[in-house]
Amino acid sequence: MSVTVDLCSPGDLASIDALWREAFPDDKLRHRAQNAVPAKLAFQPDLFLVARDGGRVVGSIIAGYDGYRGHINRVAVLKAHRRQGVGVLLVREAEARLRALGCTKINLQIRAANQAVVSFYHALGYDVEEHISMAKLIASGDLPEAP
Amino acid sequence: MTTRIRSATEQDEAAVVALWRDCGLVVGNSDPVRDFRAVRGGPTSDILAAFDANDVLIGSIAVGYDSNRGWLHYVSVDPVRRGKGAGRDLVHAAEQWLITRDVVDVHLTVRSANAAVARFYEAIGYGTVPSIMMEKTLRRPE
Repeated sequence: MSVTVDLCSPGDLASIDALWREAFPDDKLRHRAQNAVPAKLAFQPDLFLVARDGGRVVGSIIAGYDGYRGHINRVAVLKAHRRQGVGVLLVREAEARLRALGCTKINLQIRAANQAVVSFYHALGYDVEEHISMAKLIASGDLPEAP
Repeated sequence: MTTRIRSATEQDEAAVVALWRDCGLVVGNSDPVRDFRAVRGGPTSDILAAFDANDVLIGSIAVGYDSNRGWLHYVSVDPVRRGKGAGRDLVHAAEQWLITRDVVDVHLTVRSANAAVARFYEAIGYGTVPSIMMEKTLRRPE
């Protein structure tokens, strides 16, 4: 396997769209690639990473730093490329970049229906925290949803 | 009650950190002084503080946004000054701070041991999101 982790570029839009449609079929419109990719490329673009196999995008991760906690979103790997360590490469590079920004702790939120990925993150050193997550929509758009 | 809310300054550090301790928000290995300095006046974050008419600190809130959403942390009101709307006003001010930065939604987490606080957020428009939260402490940069 010759998968490398690289910064996302505007030319990746179509392949990220395909990746996310496969990984997140229930995405709200504002989380679709056409909206989310330009938004992220305009804000902390060095935290938007893709995995490439040859030239092809096979995975993605979006990290964010709110000044207090690091966050990881949009962790996706094409089904045909799973179980080959691509997700691990993406998470490790995102962690290194967050750490370089001064981030000391990463929080991530998993949909309750997606319990299966808990073991993936646990193997990478993440522990489940007993928290209640709450959210509110403060501007017009889709309703808030589980990340 | 006349409450004034503004961005915290360096001079507010001791009072704000003391408030966080009084409110039981400093747990585990967290370093509130480091957090105050990292969040206050940051490129994507700030700390807002509420004062009474005598300029005494009543409460504070840390607000920030990643690329995806806004976050609230360290929401705190002096235990003897609660029940008069200061918390609601601080959350509202943080929401306004996020709205001016084009943030669409705001998230927060409440420790399960502090579940009673969820009712406060429900009363001001927050809903519970069914999600599993995982956390990892990073090593300091080498």
